[in-house]
Amino acid sequence: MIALRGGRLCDPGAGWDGPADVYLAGGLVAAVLPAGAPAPDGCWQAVPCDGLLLVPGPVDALCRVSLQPDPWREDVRSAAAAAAAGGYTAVLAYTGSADPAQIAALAAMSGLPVRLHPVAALTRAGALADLGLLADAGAVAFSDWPEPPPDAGLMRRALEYAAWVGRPVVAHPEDPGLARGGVMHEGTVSFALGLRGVPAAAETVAVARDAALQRAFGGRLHFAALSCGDSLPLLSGATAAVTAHHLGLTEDAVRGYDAAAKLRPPLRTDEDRRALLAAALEGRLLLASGHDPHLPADKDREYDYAAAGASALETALPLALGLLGPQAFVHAASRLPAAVFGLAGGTLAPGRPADLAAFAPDEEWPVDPAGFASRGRASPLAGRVLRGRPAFTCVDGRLVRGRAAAAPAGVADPDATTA
Amino acid sequence: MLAGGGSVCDLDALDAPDIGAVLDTSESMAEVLCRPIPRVPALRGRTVMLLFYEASTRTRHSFELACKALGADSLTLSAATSSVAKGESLRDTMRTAAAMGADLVVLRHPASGAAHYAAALGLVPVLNAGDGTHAHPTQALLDLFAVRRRTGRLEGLRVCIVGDILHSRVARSSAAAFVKMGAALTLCGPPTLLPRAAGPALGAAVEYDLGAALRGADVVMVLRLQHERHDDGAGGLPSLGEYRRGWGIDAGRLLRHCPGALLLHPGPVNRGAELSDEVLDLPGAVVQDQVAAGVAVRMALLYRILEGGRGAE
Repeated sequence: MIALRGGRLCDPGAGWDGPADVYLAGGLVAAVLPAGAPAPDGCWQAVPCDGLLLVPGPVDALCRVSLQPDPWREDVRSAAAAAAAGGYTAVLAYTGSADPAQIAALAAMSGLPVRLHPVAALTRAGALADLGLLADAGAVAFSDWPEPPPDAGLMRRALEYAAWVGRPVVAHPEDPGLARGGVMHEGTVSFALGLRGVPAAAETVAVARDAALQRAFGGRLHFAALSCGDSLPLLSGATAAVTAHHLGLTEDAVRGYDAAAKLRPPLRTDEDRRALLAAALEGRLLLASGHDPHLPADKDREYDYAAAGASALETALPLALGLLGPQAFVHAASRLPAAVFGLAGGTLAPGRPADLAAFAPDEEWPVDPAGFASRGRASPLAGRVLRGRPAFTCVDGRLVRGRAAAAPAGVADPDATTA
Repeated sequence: MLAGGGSVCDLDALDAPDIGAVLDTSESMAEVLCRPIPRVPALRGRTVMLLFYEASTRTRHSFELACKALGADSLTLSAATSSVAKGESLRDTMRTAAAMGADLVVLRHPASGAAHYAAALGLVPVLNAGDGTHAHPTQALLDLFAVRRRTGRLEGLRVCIVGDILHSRVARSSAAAFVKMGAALTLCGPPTLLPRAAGPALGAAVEYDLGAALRGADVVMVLRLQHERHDDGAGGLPSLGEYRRGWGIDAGRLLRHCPGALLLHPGPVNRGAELSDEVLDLPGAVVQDQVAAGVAVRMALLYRILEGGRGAE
């Protein structure tokens, strides 16, 4: 039984935006009361939250998780630790696995500092994966991300079948023919750098195709991550996410050949960035981290040869919070992901799961990948100063000192101030 | 930029006076090369490592000659015959170069940005001898040098670069160099090999019609068709005949549109491919001047990087 006192609660789903005391009991929200109001009956462990921003638990809508045991690569536990350090309470773990036993094992993992929702493979060897068995095992969605989408015929079948199973299909909008060999956004910067480009059309063509398939054949379609403003009018009935990197950075991050800025989809123009930011501010896009970590040896090398993808779990929420402001941030990071993937969170109304995150909204901190809990140490934000820092999270009503556990120096410890 | 042992990865950090100074030093070096014994001991005791991850004949030999003429020791590491073939990373090879006491690494590499990456390690200064489709600064400077020697000026020249612009590091660096020196630049080639973005990226006009591009040009630079880079299967170039129909350079086209223009080619020339057989024998063809200029310009750059730009005389 925890009482979070004195923070500012931003929970548009419950109509809250102001000082509040939040009471958690039995893994659920027991009550949300105006700050200083008399506590409900019971024995509450008080956690002072003065100066902190409390939000319903953020859910990462796009995070790659490897099921291969390898002590040097990101695994489920290191990814979960990174997510907790980054202020997440739940993660959609894109496994690429079509094995129901693996998905079931992942769904049943205990002792993690975040909730882990497995995303299973959509296809296997050019045919549909066992979507029903995978759903039974705990898969909340199906996706081949970051592999390119299947051909249109198979995508049609996937949408139809997944609809019957009652799960969304997450498409990676990238036309393989147009994207082939590309390592950054195609434009004047790619030309000047002599790097092969991925044209914006590689995304818009794929978005238009899959949106048309959904109109024709039904199903729930979600796009893993958009990078182009021109994709927005093509979404039709589909939902889509944008990564914090794509809200905060442009192709200019690639100048100087920083392989940490080699992402998939690539960082694009400032016009694209502004269009995506405007859409996120209007509540039309989910926020995702797009966490896709690699071994240092695969990132710290010639840009052309480096793997695409970066470590994002520990920077995505602070970066997005600064860009979106609390209301739009909660909508994009907490409410929409819960709604699109059918999860129980998204708001802190009484009776909902006691998942929330606390941020120190004014704290400025330099991004130093060497201090990441993630084993992926490549970040295009390295060296930048971000404003707003995760303080702690609560998952299922329990305090998680994600960053304090990962990097103890100079971090407030909410347990030290119990009443 | 060249003072203080800095790396030269491209021409971005050099302004017109910097480039003019390198060309002036190159004149001094060209004079050295005309002496009965073409040697000065200016870099005696210095070690230059030539690190070539990509096949090259003239650039490598040109650098070797430049090192010899300045008294520097050079050692050549070719990717195919070294630890690189065993999987050593560029980072570790640069560390090896530093441990061996190299004062400068001359790097040729198939990946764009490799020179920037190697230079950013901060171990040994890097002189880019061509990285992917990005930059080839010594080639650009020797082009300027060869043209300046023939015309006496660079400012106001009308320069036309013809061919596969998209895959050409020579086009990018030479275009940037000519524009910095005040030349008016036109790029010409098939639309699939000359993206519109090239114009704003390089400060040049883009013209797909060869006749219009050549008209009134003072300098025509013809690029080599890089068959080895047309591996994207996107049909950028249907056939050689199709290319020649639109953009093949022959004596008739040159004499009709720009009689008296200088003709440059970075080499190696595929005689009869992008150039017809007879044009290399026209009086304006300066391809051999370029080769000779290459040694002098590379001497000048080696000297200015390793000796911090103190006068060469």
